[in-house]
Amino acid sequence: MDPTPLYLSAKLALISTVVLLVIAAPLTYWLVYYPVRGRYFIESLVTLPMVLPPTALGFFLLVAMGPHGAIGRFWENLTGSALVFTFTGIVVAAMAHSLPYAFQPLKTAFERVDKRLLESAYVLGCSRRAAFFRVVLPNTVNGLAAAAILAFAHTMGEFGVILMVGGSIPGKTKVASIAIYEYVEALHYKEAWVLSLALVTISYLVLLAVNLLNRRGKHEA
Amino acid sequence: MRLEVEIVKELPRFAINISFACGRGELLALVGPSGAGKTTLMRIIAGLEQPDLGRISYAGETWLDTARKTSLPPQNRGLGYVFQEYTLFPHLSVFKNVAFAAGDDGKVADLLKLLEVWHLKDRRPAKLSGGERQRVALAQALARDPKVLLLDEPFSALDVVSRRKLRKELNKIKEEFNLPIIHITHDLEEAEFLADRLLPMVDGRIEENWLVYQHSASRPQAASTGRPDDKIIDFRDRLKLKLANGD
Repeated sequence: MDPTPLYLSAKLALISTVVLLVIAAPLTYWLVYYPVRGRYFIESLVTLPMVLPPTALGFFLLVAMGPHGAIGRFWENLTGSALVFTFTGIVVAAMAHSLPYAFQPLKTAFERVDKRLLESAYVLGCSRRAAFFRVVLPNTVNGLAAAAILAFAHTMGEFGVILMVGGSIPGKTKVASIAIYEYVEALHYKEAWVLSLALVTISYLVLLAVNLLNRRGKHEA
Repeated sequence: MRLEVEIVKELPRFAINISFACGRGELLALVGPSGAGKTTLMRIIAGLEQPDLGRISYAGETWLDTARKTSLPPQNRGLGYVFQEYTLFPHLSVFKNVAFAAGDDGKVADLLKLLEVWHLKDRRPAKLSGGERQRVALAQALARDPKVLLLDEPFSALDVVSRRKLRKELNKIKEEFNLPIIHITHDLEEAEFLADRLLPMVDGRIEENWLVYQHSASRPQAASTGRPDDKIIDFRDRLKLKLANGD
């Protein structure tokens, strides 16, 4: 069995999770702590990928990231290369699909931070941005870890969106879930079993980690 | 070098309508029952809340002027603020909590020694008693070389022994730092022990006709206040009654 799809899945999950957290943490902080007009509209939009069929989301992303779409054109102007059917393209797609899975635990964790700590930080001379790094993030480590783990696990099992945006290019965009589908189609059940079991094991360990983190968080609270 | 405060803020039950000044080296106690608007007033001075109307300035520097629509954010007012509840950062040791606002470690060490919590420097706030936490909070508030120190019932959650010890510390700080200090409390005995000047605050207003007397070597004295002694008794009785009723 070729281990490349499993490696690609892990690489995709790792990169998209790191980049996603860098984007999602400030976005969530902004939505939780600033008086944002239309907050609930933005929150619903951020959470939308959770309920949208992956093929529908994948289709929208394919159009937006294609050569005639806004994101695709911007990327092509910036780098000179296309975004769809590339590894970078599936990283962007995975991030879009996993955003709500990172947003929800971050939101819960940020809302749990005692607002008086922030006020104390402001009075002590901290700007809002500095308070985010010096007070909010250190007091939401469990929330950040839960967000990272859920986004990672969700991306490991990602199928529809990646297939739409990345196709199934061996060594580039053919991740484990797509490989399983193709093995089954070709009646290569043994390989499908091995890859599926590998995904089950990884997902189980990840969810176990989330539960243990939540338990620790409750004890600390 | 005076802090001058003049504000109006509409609250659901009454309006805060207050005007006072506090000079360097002076400890001004605002005494009043719960719900008199004392904490809201402190939060407005700190810049954590906005009044409907008003002006706050320190030594000629305008912190707030609603007529000119200017308001300095809390981080630029240069205040020390000890909150009623414990607000030390739980993820930091005592030393790092104080160093949060201080530029140099030597100053942190001096403050921790001054407030007799140096031996706790490596502990997290969760491992401290109430009295120890408020000492550290006081050190933290002073670490920034504040222009003004605000104390919002900092001793209210403490036992009698800790409270008495901290009062003495506060007197020491008053002499050493020479700051305007505004201390709000509903404990009349505490206010009398600490304050140079005592203002009764009820339903958002200072009851000036209840008499404000000087806490000095010659107090209580009718001469410096220009009011008869029976007014002092009148003020104390009326305030005590208000505090006892909690209304």
